[in-house]
Amino acid sequence: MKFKSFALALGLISTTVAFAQEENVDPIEGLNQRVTLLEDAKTVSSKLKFSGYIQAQWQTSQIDSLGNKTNDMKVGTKNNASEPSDYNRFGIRRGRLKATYTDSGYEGVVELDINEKSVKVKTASVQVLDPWTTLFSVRGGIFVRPFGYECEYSSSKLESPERSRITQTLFPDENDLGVSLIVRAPKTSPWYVLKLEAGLFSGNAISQDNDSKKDFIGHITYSDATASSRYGFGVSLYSGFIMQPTVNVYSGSASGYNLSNLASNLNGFAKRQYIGFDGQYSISSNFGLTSLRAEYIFGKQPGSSSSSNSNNDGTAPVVTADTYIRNIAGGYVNFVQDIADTQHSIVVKYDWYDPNTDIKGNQIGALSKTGKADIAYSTIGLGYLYRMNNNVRLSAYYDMVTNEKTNVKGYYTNVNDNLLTIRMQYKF
Amino acid sequence: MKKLVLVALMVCALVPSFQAQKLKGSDTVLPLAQKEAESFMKKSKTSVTVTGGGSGVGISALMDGTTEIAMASRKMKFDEKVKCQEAGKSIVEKIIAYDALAVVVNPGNSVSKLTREQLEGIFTGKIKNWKEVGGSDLKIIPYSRETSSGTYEFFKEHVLKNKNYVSSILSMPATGAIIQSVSQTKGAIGYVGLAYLNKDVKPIHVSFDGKKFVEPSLENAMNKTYPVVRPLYFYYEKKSEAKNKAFIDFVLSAEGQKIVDQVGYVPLKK
Repeated sequence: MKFKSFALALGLISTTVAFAQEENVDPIEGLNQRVTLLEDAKTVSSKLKFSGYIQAQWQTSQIDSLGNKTNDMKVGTKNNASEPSDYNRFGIRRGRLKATYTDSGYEGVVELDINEKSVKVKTASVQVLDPWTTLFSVRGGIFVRPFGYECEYSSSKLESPERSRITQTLFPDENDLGVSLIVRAPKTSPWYVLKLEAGLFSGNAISQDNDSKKDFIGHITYSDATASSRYGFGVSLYSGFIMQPTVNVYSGSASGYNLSNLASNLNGFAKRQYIGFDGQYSISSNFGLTSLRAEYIFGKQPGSSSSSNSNNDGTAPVVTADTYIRNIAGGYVNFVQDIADTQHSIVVKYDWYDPNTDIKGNQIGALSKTGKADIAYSTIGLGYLYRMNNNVRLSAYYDMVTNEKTNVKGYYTNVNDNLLTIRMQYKF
Repeated sequence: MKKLVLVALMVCALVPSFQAQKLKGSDTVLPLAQKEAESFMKKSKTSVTVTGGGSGVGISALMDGTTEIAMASRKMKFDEKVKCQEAGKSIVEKIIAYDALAVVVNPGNSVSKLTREQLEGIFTGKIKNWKEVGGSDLKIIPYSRETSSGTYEFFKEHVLKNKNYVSSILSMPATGAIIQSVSQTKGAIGYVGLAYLNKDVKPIHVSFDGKKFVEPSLENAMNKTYPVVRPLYFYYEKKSEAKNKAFIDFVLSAEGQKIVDQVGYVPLKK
């Protein structure tokens, strides 16, 4: 107590001395100095920006007739115990913390995804703007793949809890390791409406590069706005490769799969190619803001017998896994309507993904080598959003998932795998 | 008990600063808002702070919650509306006055009238010398506001018909800087709100039909013969309507609109 009193007295004395000293300085000059110091500090601090968001959610899903839990639930984990006809989990879907440092044409970004399962790097990139024409910039590191619209659309803005099935399948993690060139005229130019981004990527999502072949991704977009609306469209191209770990390469056809087992197939590369079209339109009216977005993607996707998912694992391919090359197609239509000028919105989304366009549902399981990985899915999502304020958004979203009727056990009819997500998001 | 009294006194001392109403944005609206705030403060004893920076800056501040009223010399853009919507903010728009945009040159310049097409040529870089528009052999030095300025947007939209400014244009951070630069540079040309006109610059008579040239003045703006007239806006959140009501009602009242007239802008009704 004595020590505290002494410290307090000492503090008061030193403050008085400081004030006495300040009195000798011209007050205007003193104020100027302080303002200059504050301005300098502000200039430095304004270059570094922290942002992020937390998505805490509760999900409940049906369990199919074989007792399987859905793969669509993104939080929690499965357990061995039998659960009733539905089950539910709490979880942090995304916990993002992003630091961006911007200084005269240079930008560095580090973003972490933190949740109860792990801490992972989401973005680690550097972007440099050419200082002469300000037309070109180069980006390198781990950053979002420039393919389509949904891949690049922030998860914090996304009205549905997840991206469409085709985006999740073809572009796991959304981000990849590589380098890209961005061409865009300055804001004051009439050419600002056009943007081209193209680059070379490892093709393994956020994981280590494991081969010398690089994947090309390019996206050209046009977007413009009037006083009450904004519209845009784009075309994307993906041209990449997947290593074939065995001599057996199966290619999808109307009769099932054609096998090629040439010795040269071993450690060769299967082509991974997609073309995508995207369009967006938003209009503001007395009914509130109306937004419509759509995307269609088709192409060739190398996978395995059990999955058409793109790789997001940096390890070497499993040496026993044969390669299955499928013709794929899919897309989504996303509609969001604000309820007049309130903070409430409704969301309707339809998305579909067909991992094998060469065969019909009833041929899956009947034709040789066909199976679960060839089943097409479509989902109708209905959602409600409440934007409480600048930071908080609450949402409720119901996914009605439908699969093709096939000859695969457990998938003779539509599987019970509808999903309800209740989410609270805090963005800062 | 002493601690309690001390804390209470500190809270009392801080309360007025929390209650201060904040306005931020358009440099065009700034002189008007300052005068309105001065008169309002005398009457209501409510503290009002007004700062400039440009319409874009004001609207961003409204989105961030760092101002209660955004002052703008242009309508809110679509992307700004979307950002407000995403932030759960319902925005109210109020026109508080009208402004005539005056094109100004150095008082030593012999040119005193220009058509819209000539202005477009000058600000897009097609016309480079004053002799091309009837003046002396002198290089034209055009000045504009920064891109965050509503005046920049309005002039581009209505006078340049959405064509782009010449890339070499000199961008000024505030209207006062344009007046200063034009007054000190012989070949200079710029544009400013009517309230900023003074003897250091020469206003240009403008014609949109190529026949009738009209001087930028309050009278001509009010009788609608001067063609470059635009509304001036206040934007605020619907949920803070009650807090802003007293000040906005004052600006829209007869007394507030008289100040509009005195400052050199066009009142809503006269």
